[in-house]
Amino acid sequence: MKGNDYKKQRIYADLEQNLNYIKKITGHSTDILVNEFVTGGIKCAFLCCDGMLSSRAAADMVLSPITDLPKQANAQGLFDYIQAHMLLSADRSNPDNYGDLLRLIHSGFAVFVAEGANTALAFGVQGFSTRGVQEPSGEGNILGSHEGFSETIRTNMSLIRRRLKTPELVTKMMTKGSKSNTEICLCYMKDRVPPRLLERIMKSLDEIDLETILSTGYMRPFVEKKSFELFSSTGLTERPDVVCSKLIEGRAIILVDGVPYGIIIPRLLCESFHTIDDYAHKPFYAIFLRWIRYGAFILSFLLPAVYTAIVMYHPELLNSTLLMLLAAEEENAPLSLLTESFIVLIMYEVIREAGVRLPKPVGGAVSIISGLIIGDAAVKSGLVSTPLLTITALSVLGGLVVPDLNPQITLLRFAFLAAGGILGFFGISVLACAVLTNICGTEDYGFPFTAPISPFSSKGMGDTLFRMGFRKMQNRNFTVEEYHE
Amino acid sequence: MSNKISLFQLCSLMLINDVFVLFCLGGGISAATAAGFGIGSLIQLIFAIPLICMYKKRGTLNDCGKIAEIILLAGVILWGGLLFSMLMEAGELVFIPFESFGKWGSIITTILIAVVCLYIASSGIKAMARSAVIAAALGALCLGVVVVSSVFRSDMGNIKAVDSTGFFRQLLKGFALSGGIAGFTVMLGFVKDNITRTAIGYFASKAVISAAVLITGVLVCGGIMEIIDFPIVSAAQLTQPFSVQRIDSLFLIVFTVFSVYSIAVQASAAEYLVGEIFPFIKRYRCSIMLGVMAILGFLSDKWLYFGVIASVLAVIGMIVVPTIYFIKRKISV
Repeated sequence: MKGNDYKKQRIYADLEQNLNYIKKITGHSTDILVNEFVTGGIKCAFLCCDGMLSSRAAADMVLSPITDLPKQANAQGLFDYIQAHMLLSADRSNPDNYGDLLRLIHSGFAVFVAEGANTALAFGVQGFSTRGVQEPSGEGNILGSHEGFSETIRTNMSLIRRRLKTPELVTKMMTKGSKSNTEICLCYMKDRVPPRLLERIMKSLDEIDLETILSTGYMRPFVEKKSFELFSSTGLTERPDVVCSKLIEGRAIILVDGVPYGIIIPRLLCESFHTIDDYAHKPFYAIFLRWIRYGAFILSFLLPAVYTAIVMYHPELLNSTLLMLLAAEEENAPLSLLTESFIVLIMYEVIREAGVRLPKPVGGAVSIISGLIIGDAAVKSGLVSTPLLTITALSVLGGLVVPDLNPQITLLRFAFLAAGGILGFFGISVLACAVLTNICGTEDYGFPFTAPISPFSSKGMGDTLFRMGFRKMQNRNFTVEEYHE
Repeated sequence: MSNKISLFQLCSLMLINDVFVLFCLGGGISAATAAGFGIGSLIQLIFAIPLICMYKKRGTLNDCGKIAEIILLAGVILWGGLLFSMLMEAGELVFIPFESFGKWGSIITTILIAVVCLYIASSGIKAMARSAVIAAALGALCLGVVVVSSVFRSDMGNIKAVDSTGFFRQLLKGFALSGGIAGFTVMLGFVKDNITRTAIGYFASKAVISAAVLITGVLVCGGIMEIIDFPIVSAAQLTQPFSVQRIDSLFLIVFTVFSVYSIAVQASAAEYLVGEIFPFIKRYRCSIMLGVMAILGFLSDKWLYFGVIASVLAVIGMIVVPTIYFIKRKISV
C-alpha cells in the first residue's frame, strides 16, 4: 500500500475482501482488533483499536444490544434497523471510505462492517486513558479557578462550554496532519469575533499540509505573519477561564488534540502582564501588581546591560558611596565585567536547562548544587563579584514574573548585555530602537501587537496600564476589533 | 498592511527630528533664536496650506510629476546627510564610546546608526511610526526632567533678545534647521486622520517645544554661551536634579534614540520618493539612500550653509508640489 491511496477507496461490500484490505492497510497491526460474528442473520465484523475505547462501554452500550437483533433481509436492512431503532451512542458516524473508517477506528470508535454493505457504522465509545483535569502548571493563580486544560480535546471543549453556556459559542472541529489525523477545534463567539478575522484564520488553517501535529508550535507559524517577529502575535494558555475571557473579547481560539494549551488569536503584548488574579483583587492592588510586572519585565532584560554599561562607561550615574563599593568589589575580579556577566548568565541558563530536563527529584538537587555550592564558591573564590551576582539574580527573577515572554527575555538579555558592554548606553539605545520597531511592527490579521499603547487607545488603557472596576467594565462592551487597523 | 499613520504618529516622527536638530544646534542661542523658530513654524504652516489642500483633495505626490519629486528627494537626502553630520559633531560631546577613536570612531558610529536606521525604515512606515510614538513619549519624559531641573539652575538675566551674531543670523539659523519639512511633505500623504488638524498640530507643537527647549538652553547657559559649542547639550549637562550623582548619560539615550528616528524618517521618505521617481529600482533603495546620506554627512562640515540649501529645497518642494498638482488639475478640467 503506497502513500494515502487507500483514503478515498470505497468500502468493499464483500466482507472477506473488506477485512483483508483493512489488514493490508494497517500492516496486520496487533492493536487493530477484528471480531467476526453473525447478527440478524448477516455476517458482520466488529473493529476497534485496542486501548482506545472503553471495553465496558463498548460491551454494554454496543456489543450487547447489537448481537441480539431480529433477522434482516440484507446488510442495508440491518444498518437501517440499527440506525432507526437503536440509540447506541450519541456520537455516530457512517463512513463510506477507508480513510474515514480508519480515522474513526484510531480515534476509539467501535466500527461495524457487514457482508454486502459498502458503508460502515461507527459508535463513539472512546475510553483511552488521559491525564484528567489538573491545576495548570505554568499559569498559577491564587483566587481564580484551579482547572487547567488536559491533553484531550473534548475535555478541553467541555471546560470552555461549562463556562460559556451560550449558543453564541461555536466550536468547529477539523482534522489536520496527513499521518497524525490530529483533531483541532476552532472556537469563537459568533456575535463577537470579527468575520474577517475568522475568514483569514480559516484560510491560514487551509494552508497546513503537515504530516503530524504534535504541539501548538506546529500550527502557530501558519497563523502568524511570515516576516521575522521577535515576539509571537498569537498567545498560549492552559487556562479555560482565560480562554473564555478572550472569546468574549472577540478572539478566536484553536485547541489541538493532545496538547493542553489553547492558541489565542490575536494576542497583544500587554496581555502577557495580565493574570486572572488581577480581576479577583481590588483594582488598586491589581494596578500595583500590574506595574510591578511591567517594571520586572524591563529589569529582566535591561538590568545586567545597564549595570555593565554604568560601571564600564558611565560611572558618573552612581553616587560616590555606591561607586566606591562597586569599585572595591570589581577590583579583585580576574575577568572583565562583560566577560564576567556573560559567564554568570550562561551559567544560569545551563543550570535552568538542567533543572527543567532532569527528573524532578534530581532537579531539586541541581538547584541546591548551583545556588548554594557553585554560587557561593564563585563569589568566595573571587571569580564573580557579589554585586554582579545580585544583579543577575534580580534580572532572572524579573523574567520569571512574566513567564509568557521568557524565551524572548533570555535572548534580549544577552543581546543588550553585549550592546551595553561594548558601546555603553549608546549601544543599548541603538539596540532598543531596533527591538522597539520590531515589536511595534508585529501585527497579524490587522491587529497591532502593541495596541492599545501604540497605536494609542485611551479606552484600552482601562485594562492595560490600569484595571478599572467591574462596575465600569460591564458597560464597556469591548471587543478586540477596536484595535484593528 | 496599509501604510496609513495617525496624526500623533506623524507628529511624533517629525517632532523627534526637530528636537534632535535642537540638540545638535551649534553656536550661541538667544531669545531671538526661539523667536526665529516660532516665526519659522508659522511661515512653514502658511507655506503648507496649498499642500494641505492638495492632500485633502486626495492628490498624491505621484500626480505632481517627477520634477517636484526630485526637488523633494534632493531636500530629503541633503537633510539626511546633515543629520549624520550633526550626529558626528555632537556625538563626541555626549560620549559615544567609539567617538573618541577619531575619524574611525565616527565611521563606526555612523555605520551602526545607518544599519539600525535601515532596519527601522525597511520595517515599514507603520512600525516606524508606532515605535516613534513610544520613543517620543520617553524622550518627552527625559526632557521634562531636564526642563524641571533647569528651574533651579536658571538665571533670568541670561535672556537676551539678540546675541553678538545678530538677529538676522539667528533667523537664518532657525530657517536652516527646517529642512525636515521635506520629509513632512512626503509623510503627510500617509496620514489617515484630518490633514488640516495634523499640520496645525505639528507646527504648533514644533513652535512650543522648540521655544521651551531653546529658552531652557538660554536660561541655563546664557552666561557661558560664548565658550560652549552645543548649548542644549550643555544645558542638559548642567541641569542635574541630584546633588550627589550626574544624569548626563540619560541624555545620551534620548540623543541616540532621536538621532536614529530622525535619520530613519528621512531614509524612509527618500526610499518612497526613489520608488516613485525610478520605479525600475526594486531593491536596496533604502540602503542606497542611507549610504548617500552617510557619505554626505562625512563631506559636510559647513552644516549651516548645507542646512540652508536643504531647507530652501524643502520649502520649494512644499510649494512646487501642490502648484504642479493644481495646474495639472486645472488643465485636465
